[in-house]
Amino acid sequence: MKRKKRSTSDIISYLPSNVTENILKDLPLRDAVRTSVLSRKWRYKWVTLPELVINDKFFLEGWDDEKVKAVIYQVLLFHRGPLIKFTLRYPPFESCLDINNWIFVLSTKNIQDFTFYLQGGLCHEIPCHFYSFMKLRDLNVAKCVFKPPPTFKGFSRLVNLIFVDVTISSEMRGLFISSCPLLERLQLTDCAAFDSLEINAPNLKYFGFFGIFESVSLENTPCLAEISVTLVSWYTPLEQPEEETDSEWVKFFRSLPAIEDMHLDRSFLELQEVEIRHFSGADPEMLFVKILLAYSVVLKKMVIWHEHEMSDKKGFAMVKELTRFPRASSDAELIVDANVPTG
Amino acid sequence: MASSIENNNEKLTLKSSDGEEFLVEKHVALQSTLLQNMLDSDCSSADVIPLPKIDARTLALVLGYCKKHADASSSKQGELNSFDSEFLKDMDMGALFNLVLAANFMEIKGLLDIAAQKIADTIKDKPHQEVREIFHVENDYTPEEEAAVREENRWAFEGFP
Repeated sequence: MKRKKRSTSDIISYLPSNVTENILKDLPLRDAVRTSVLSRKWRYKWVTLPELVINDKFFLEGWDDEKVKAVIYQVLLFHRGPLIKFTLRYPPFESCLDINNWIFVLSTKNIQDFTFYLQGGLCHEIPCHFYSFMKLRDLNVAKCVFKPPPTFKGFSRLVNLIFVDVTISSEMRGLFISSCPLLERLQLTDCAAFDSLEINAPNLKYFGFFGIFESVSLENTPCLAEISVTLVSWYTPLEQPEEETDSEWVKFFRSLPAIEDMHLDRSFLELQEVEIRHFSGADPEMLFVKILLAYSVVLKKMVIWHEHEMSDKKGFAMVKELTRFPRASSDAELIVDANVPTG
Repeated sequence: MASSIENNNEKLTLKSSDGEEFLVEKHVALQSTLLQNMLDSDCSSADVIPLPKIDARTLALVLGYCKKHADASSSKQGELNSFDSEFLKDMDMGALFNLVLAANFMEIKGLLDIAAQKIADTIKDKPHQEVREIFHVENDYTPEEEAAVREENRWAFEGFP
């Protein structure tokens, strides 16, 4: 064998392929692609990268949308073999038909982790090829419309789902979630179209939502251990006096006919940590806290962020009342504070 | 004969390529998927497990990493993270490659990941000429071929010499 050209100290070119992949996937895509020019051995090492992450590090200043799209086509054209993770998260990217072509190419790659963040303009309707991503474990999507075909049987391996400003037709949304039997984490942010959501997810451990909801009912969530709720009112007119309007929070609990049922549901018995933000101390909220404390036998910690300072008499009385509620869990720690966390 | 390991105060002996023996507690050895599989399948019939690809200096480093990670409780993630970054600091390239190959052979994912990340950090943001020098990669392209490869991926070379 002719070996005299090989430098003995060149170790990096002769690493096992999985080690090379591990190194390349830790590089920004631009750096990984540039390794192609090191030597002949390196020319096509990057094309089997197991992860493609297209984010702000991918682009240079001065690139316009057309350039960005051309580069994405180029990368997808060269890439060979399966792809565990694909991320497109570039701030000013808007809905366009090219996206459907990319998703078509990606549909052959057995993707497990798919992140797709669009911004501005219209929501993008996800093309039908997407529903053949049967290996998905993680799905994180912003500004898209899902219209699954009637033949869609769910993502049977999906574990984590994050939707931001996503729309699904009303008849499909409950089905979409209930047809992902392994789902453990569900987060819905600004998904106004998800009002009146019924959640049927036997393995769900975490449920978070941020935004406006008419009602959410937990139909079958026996493993649920953590809920994070932030309800925001975008529409409350400023001139309306505060006392006369219920906060969205109160509306949320009023609109939950299932409060009485919820405490019977085994799911709440499993709650370990609860965080409540924008608490105002209104009766339905107090009742809700009382119910949670009374029925959550394994509760470890409940943090209540009050929306105002509580230095006055009223605030003091409220805290006193809260701390007097009987707790089913002897370990339960109750923290009441006025420093509302951001985010 | 796997029981001999259990009788021996839950310890086993690893032998490096240069013949040095290391007595290792079993829970430390379990950080390595390779050793775990060997113990599970009872195939470590010998009292000494030879690791013919790993020299003593590298094996000592690997076992230091395994011990720290085996002994730390899960609540001390922050402490482990600072241990990890200190662990590879100032390590020369030769030692780093020995370590990444050992971690790959012994299937110690955490160590493989941090060593690969360290190598990637060395490549990142550098022009390819410099990367060739650091890693002693010989450029066997003809000037025409090299120009063609650059042209093929022109977008990635923008802003680089």
